[in-house]
Amino acid sequence: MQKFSAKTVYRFAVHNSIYIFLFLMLVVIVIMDPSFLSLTTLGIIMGQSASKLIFALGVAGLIIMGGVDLSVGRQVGLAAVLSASLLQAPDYFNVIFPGLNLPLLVPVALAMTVTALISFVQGIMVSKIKVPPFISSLGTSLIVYGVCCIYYDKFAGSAPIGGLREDFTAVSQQGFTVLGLKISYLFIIAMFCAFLVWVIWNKTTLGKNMFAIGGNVNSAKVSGVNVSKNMLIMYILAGLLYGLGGAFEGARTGSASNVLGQSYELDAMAACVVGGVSMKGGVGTIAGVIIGVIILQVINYGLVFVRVSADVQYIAKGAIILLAVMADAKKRSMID
Amino acid sequence: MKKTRILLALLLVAVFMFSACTQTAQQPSESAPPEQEQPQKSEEPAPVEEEPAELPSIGMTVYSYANTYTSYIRKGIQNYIAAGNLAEIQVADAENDAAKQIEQIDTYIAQGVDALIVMPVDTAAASTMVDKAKAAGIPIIFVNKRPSVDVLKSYDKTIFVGLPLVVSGEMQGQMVVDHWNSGKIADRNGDGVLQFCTVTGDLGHPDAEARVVGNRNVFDASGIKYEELDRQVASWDTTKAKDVSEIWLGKWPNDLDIIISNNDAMALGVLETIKQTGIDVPVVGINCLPQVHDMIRSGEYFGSVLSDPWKQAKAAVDLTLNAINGKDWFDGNEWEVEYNAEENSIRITDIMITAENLHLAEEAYKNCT
Repeated sequence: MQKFSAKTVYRFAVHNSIYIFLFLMLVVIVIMDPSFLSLTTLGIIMGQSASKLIFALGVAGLIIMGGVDLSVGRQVGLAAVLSASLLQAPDYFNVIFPGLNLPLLVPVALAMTVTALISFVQGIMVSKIKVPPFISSLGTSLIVYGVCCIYYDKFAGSAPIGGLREDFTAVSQQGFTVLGLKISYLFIIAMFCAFLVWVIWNKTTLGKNMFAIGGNVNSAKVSGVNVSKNMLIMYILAGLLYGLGGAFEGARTGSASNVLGQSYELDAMAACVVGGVSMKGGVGTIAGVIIGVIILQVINYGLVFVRVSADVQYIAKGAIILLAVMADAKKRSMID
Repeated sequence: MKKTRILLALLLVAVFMFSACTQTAQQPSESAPPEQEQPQKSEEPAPVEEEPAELPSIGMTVYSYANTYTSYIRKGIQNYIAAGNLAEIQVADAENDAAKQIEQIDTYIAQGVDALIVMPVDTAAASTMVDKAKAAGIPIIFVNKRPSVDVLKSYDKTIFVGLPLVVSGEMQGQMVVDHWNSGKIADRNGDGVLQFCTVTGDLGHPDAEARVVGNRNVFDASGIKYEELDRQVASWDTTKAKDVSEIWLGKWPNDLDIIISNNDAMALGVLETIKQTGIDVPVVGINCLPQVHDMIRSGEYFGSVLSDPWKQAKAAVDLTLNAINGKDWFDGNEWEVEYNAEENSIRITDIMITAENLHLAEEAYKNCT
């Protein structure tokens, strides 16, 4: 009985190591500064995670299929620059396209279309031409950044695109208060996206195929899954999410420049990994992705809150990601 | 396999031929300008024989296209050259990579440019650049970030336009001290101590470090009581600065007297948080970009430090052309700038900008967009 319980504890610790670690970290942060525990903190963390969750949902599907996407950040940047340039307040001193008064959804939809197209092309490269996802997304990210710089330079004169319309920024910055907790509209949108993606992953053939492809491409093929078609659809879905998240990330910042989005791909993938999405493919849950994004944001926020310097923050983040992957590997070996 | 190789070889040949064609296609446009130069000559009484038949070629490498402020200097240089049809200029983006910048300089020298204008990524690499320019016998003009004085003195065809890094930070610190003493920056918690937070550029970036040191120098010298509540890196990124300032304003809503930003781009992120939360903490930045002019006018943004990009651009081009033509550095110069022989530098004086003297900043950026 005793032996059994020790084993159970060990199993529990391995399976939940990342949450235990997070909990310990929270305890340390709260001991260092008890004022961390507040609804303000929670509200800000939710607001900051919203757009990151949207990108992470996109890339998670690709990781589950056994891929990576290094172009997330640059696609987000392009979406932010595009939509911001089309959604400036008419009375701003430096309006790029004067006299434009588009409904809010048009530029956002345009940004989403552009990123969906970019991801579609990437999907073709990966699924039809068999370019490794690492390489195809690396190339894509460079091209997208170049295009974004040209657009930014030509139209915005290499200056941050500011003076965004109030109705646009309000989506990311404003919200409503429930029992003292401020929830931004963007967080609701992110949750809605999470729900949609959950339905796709768990309730559709596409989702089942996605897990099958990630688990073992060959057996998926043998059992009649159209691998390239399913991959293409998942890439388009990812692109749509990058575009949506990117547009509102610009709105959250109140301006957009070509720097926006830099290294977001690593944050998004790290969040997935921390949340238990396996880089080997085939495994992952929506709840995991949400928790992963929030964990990383809590760490980002918490470390700044207790005034940890930037260099130590890098070390902490790196350690957490490694821990998550090691826990994942251990879990798998225990199951096997 | 063989077929692919042949195909590749053919492709390569095609690329070479194509690039050769584009080069020859450029020839006429290079020889055309002398006609357009006529009106310009009538302005300047310079003797005609001194003007070369072909425009001089300049190779410029800037440390990052992603940097807004230096983009204005770059635009200023391009506009000034285009307006007077003074030269053929090529611009390359070093993408914040010192090794890449050296490669670009190699390429320019191999192309046979007449002069180099460099906004260095890493001033420590400047000696290598100067050696290369020296070997090729062409002038090399540094803008924005100053290489060490030894390097600037190692070659008679090199000079620097700009300021030692620490000056902008000192100027910003002075602005804070002046307005703290005058009471325009309020002591929000009434404890007689200036409480502030600093949002900085990249970790270890020389500009970021120098600006923090500059602030500190002035604070220490002024004898005011101060306390830095926190300092965080936002890597010149508006979004990151917004995230960090959300934390600060959530934590010290009543104690923060001012937020000091290493540049305007990050200050914009902080201002967005202030607008969103309604907590009225003044913010100061550096660069005084056009994006912030309206905010300075309305008082939303307390102030910024201006290093005139147009003066820097003009000085850089004029110096380069003089060097190409073998004239004295300062031949025919009309810009009011100070030459510091000790540092072999043209110093563009920094100015503190608040709502009262905003017109100076508007003037400075007018020709750089």
